[in-house]
Amino acid sequence: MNTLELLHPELMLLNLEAEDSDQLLDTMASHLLAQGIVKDTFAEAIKTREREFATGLPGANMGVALPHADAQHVNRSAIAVATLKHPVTFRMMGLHEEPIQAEIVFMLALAEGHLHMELLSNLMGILQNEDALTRIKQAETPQKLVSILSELL
Amino acid sequence: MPKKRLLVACGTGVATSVAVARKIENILKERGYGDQVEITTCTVAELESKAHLVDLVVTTAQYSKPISVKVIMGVAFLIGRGTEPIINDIIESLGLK
Repeated sequence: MNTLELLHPELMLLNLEAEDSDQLLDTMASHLLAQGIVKDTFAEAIKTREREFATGLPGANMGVALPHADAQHVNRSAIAVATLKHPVTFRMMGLHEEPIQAEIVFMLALAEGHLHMELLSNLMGILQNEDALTRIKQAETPQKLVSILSELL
Repeated sequence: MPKKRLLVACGTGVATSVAVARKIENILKERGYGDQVEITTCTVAELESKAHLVDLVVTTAQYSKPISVKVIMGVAFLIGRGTEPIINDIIESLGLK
């Protein structure tokens, strides 16, 4: 599958504001639902997953979160991306005591992870790339963010 | 010689475990161990039933249940820092030569 098919301007949410991670996850999931990407069970599933298995990670120069849920809640694969006006607190993957102030959130709606090995591996590369994270954070329009991401992924 | 079996687990089994498995596979290949190890992925919930089939587990999720094989924390592969001691631990724990 082509990476470009996973990126939609409608799912690039710039300068989003949220009180907390649950509210942010709800907002992002509602956009995925509106596009028919996920089922109506997705939002609840992704919040539950985040509580059980946190997805915050310290990126090269800013905190990032990668919330995702079981494939059974997904109709077809896509990635929603939010850049945050103010950082939102997530907990660190594998180390729940450690808070992560996320500035970028990649919400993964994956029907099957193994189909997207290359993409996932490139996404992890972005986390370690200061220049890439800065460009994503500063993207001015959804279209620009799609083109930045399609170049990076 | 039979291949050593490494199982990589994460919360959902579709995202981070797949990324970490690929990363470990590439590093082991670079170091010449590629043909000695078979890497599979699963969810943390599946660990209890699958652990006895493998030689080592790497996970990106917090995991505290006692299982029959060693469990190594692999979040560093996603962060890209501090991976060297972990990869050495994997090589040593699997007894790769």
